[in-house]
Amino acid sequence: MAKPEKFAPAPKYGFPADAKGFLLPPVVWAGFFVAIYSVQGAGCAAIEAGYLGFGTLRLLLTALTVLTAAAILVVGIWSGLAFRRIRRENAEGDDGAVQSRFLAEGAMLSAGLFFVATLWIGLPIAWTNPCGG
Amino acid sequence: MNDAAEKFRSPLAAEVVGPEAEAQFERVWEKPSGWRRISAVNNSVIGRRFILTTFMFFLAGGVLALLIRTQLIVPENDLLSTEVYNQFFTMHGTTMMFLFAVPMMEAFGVYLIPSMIGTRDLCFPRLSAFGYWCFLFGGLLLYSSFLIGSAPDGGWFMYVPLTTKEFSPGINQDFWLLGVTFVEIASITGALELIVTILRMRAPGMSLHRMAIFAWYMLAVSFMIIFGFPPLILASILLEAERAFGIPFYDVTRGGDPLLWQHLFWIFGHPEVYIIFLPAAGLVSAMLPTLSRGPLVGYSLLVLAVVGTAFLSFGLWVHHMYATGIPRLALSFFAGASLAVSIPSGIQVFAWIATLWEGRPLLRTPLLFVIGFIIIFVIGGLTGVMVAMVPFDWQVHDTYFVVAHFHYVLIGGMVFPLFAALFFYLPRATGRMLSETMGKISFWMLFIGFNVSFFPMHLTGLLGMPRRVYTYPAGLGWDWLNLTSTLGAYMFAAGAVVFVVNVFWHVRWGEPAGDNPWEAGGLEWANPSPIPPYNIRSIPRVTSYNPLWDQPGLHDRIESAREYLPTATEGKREVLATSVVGAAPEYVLRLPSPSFVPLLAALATAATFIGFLISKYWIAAAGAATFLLILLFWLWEEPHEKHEKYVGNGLTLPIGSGSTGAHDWLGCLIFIFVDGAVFASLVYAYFYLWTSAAVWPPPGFAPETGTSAIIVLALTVLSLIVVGLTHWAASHHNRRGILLGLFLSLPVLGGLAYALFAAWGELPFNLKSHAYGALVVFIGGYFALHVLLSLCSALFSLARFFIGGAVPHKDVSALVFTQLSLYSAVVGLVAFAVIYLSPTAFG
Ligand code: HEM
Ligand SMILES: [Cu+2]
Repeated sequence: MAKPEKFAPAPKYGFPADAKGFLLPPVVWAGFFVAIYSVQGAGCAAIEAGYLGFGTLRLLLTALTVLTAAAILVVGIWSGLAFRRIRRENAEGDDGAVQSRFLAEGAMLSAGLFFVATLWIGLPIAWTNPCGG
Repeated sequence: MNDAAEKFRSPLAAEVVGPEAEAQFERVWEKPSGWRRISAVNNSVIGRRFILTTFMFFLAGGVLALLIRTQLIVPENDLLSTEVYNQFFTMHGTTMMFLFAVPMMEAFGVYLIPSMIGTRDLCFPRLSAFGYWCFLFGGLLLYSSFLIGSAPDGGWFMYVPLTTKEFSPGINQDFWLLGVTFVEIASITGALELIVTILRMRAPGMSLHRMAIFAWYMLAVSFMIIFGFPPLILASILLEAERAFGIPFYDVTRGGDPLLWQHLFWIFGHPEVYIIFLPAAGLVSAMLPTLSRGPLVGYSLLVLAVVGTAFLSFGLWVHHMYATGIPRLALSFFAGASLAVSIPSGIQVFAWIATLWEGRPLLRTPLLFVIGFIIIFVIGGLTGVMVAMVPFDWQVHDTYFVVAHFHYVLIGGMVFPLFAALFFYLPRATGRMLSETMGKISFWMLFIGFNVSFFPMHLTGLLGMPRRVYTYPAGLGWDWLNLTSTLGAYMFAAGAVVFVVNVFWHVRWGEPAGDNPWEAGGLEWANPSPIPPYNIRSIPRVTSYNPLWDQPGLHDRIESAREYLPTATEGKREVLATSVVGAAPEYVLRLPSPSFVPLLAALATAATFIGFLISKYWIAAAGAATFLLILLFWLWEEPHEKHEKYVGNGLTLPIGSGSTGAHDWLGCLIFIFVDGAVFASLVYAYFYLWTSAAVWPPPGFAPETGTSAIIVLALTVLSLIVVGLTHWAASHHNRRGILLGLFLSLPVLGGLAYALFAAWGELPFNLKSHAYGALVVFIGGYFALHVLLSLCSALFSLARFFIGGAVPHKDVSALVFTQLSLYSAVVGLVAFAVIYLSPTAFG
């Protein structure tokens, strides 16, 4: 009987060079989007009812954006470093390492995309009246 | 070669495994013949049927479009009355979006994905068949409205309040709400199995970084369907409940809000556009390397673009509602996301151009369609950026500019790639090539006809012509533009006819395609055409993105059954289940044989929908009950006759799996995602109406946290403990623990159902008096429904262990139960918080 072939069932490296790291930036962004939309809606309702001031709401929204952008940036840099390290440490042909490299690269790229998306969404907070029509 | 060998599809394989084994293999995978064909479940049969049916709907929608354009050919035309015109454009839009574009792309997924990832079928074949029948019946239900002259007429997005009972008392909108929901079942089942198949059934070694690119696209799209369709399904259920029973959700006089429909619709509607476009783009990415004789440039970037689009597209819905008085800052969030989503589209366009640039393209018909697609799509994208800018949108909102824009995106982005893909992949199904000459003629007619028809609409729109008007006065400068548009539409239609003629022609007279006529590198070409029902003779180990190009001799090894699972000695259809990221073989997955169960289940479902449509609710109830019974029968399976088997190449694997992560467990998880998205939409509706209400809850409506509420909460927590116990036992394959947990859960869940019923009786309001009360009852009722579902699941699992002879390490029914009832408990806790805590939270 032939010897069974060898497989690498999962990535060789851990976070962020794995499936979780790859999915983290979009998931963080999605949470951010839901949060900023809800905070703005609830915030305006609260302002109308007199519980909250405009300044506080703007601060909240700005903080959300900055935190999200920072978190995504961290994942981006971290996975970028992981990507370089994996490339340096492994020869071609190590399947588990290639899987990790691919996922790290994906995490890095998607961090870039969602960083930009976060900024584009958050920047207008600086000059727009949070509740005006 | 002797006569006996001649009749095998794969004579090479017969030499390797022996003629008996080969004959048995073919028998196991044979598709049923004669009238029994309707029991077929293979993806290749279902996929072909699906493609053909959706194409018929495309033609039907096209005929409606031609009638629309004929009505608009000259000013003051009276070919169609306003009523008929409204029905026609509504049915045109609805057909194109729900009966053609989405299902056609999913049909391609169903048809191609298994062979692209090197397996033999989808993981839930009977579910594919069920989805197909639901699609067919739902489409027919929708079209049957023409027979009684009451087709839906509220536009393809059915804006409320136009579509409420008050403004359209007829049955027209009910056809839409029920028909479309019925059809969506098919989209969701298709998505569910594509996800599980792509994650768990790729050929050994096809790890994520070398997965067929189309599978990435379909994976992302399927997730978008899983999360994107539920909001629309919920919105339709709420609207139907309001129309049929007077339960208020959108009625302003009773605390509802018509804008809720728009929000829910567009949370679905924008992703929908990408649900249509992405798979088409995926087909382009899949064909382009072959057509340009070179590698696909920027694989990682394409994957990023796909995943990025999937997420970003959910952040766009409000850009269809710029004109509805939403705060400017909220609008800017959506404008930001709209800008961001153009990045991934741009990435894809550049990757395609680079692929063409790097290769040595062959200017055959599919490539023409691909190039036509890129050109049209880029124009559509540019006008899209224009419409995404808030001030510009206010100018052209609801004019023909928008009609022009979305046809550029939809026809350019989906119909052209579709024609390319049909041209490219039909030989796989029929074994013959289409005619290049006719192909090129059809391309130029479609391309020129399209632009002649739709480019002028930008101008008609800028000149102020509104959409959805059945006629227009002369002398506004719109006349010759409309005339041109109509003539272009005729040319486009003629091009489509040439294409259809070509299809008929090639079946008889086309040149034989042989193996791999395009000399492609992907596994979908690793079999003779027309492809056999099992898609691939043996399941190969994959070490490259283009296995047929880079792994010498692979084609022959697959064909001669030298790779995995070369025989079907136990008489069962078998494939390999592999790990999610690295695609290492894990277990042998047994697939069902042909069956009538899906058809019966779809008929029962149809009875439910028809019962609602004609307001005979006993028919609906009987249909639903029958469906449940059929489902139990469906899910019941016999234990395997042995625990493991030799699969070839030195490898022995277990048969089936009873652990978390097994394909059926994963399928159930995805189902819970769908269900959770419906529930989230319901909770969203609650909070949305709250923010737009003056007082919430209305005076006298707030329910008291009485005894039964406390009992519900206590029992929910108790059910969590029991579920935890069962789950622990099931993950440790501990039979006694499982049985104990299941037994304990029966009284807990039963008591919970009873307590919920009691709590319902204590509510201080009438269901029909206010949207607040309606939502509270629906949220609570949703929980009750899931408690009952969990109860059924517990009983089912007990039956599996007692009379089904199930063994813990081969049976996931207990894990499915714990998954379901854990989710149900979460629903319960959220429902409790929403109903009893939130009215007091903000005073
Ligand atoms: C032969 C090709 C086609 C022609 C000539 C055509 C023509 C038209 C026209 C003139 C309208 C506007 C009706 C009005 O507002 O009064 C329209 C609406 C629409 N079309 Fe098409 N169309 C074609 C193909 C398609 C395709 C392939 C799709 C989708 C994949 C599509 C989707 C829609 C949708 C969603 C609407 C909006 C319906 C509504 O307002 O509710 N069309 N079409
Ligand atoms: Cu949109």
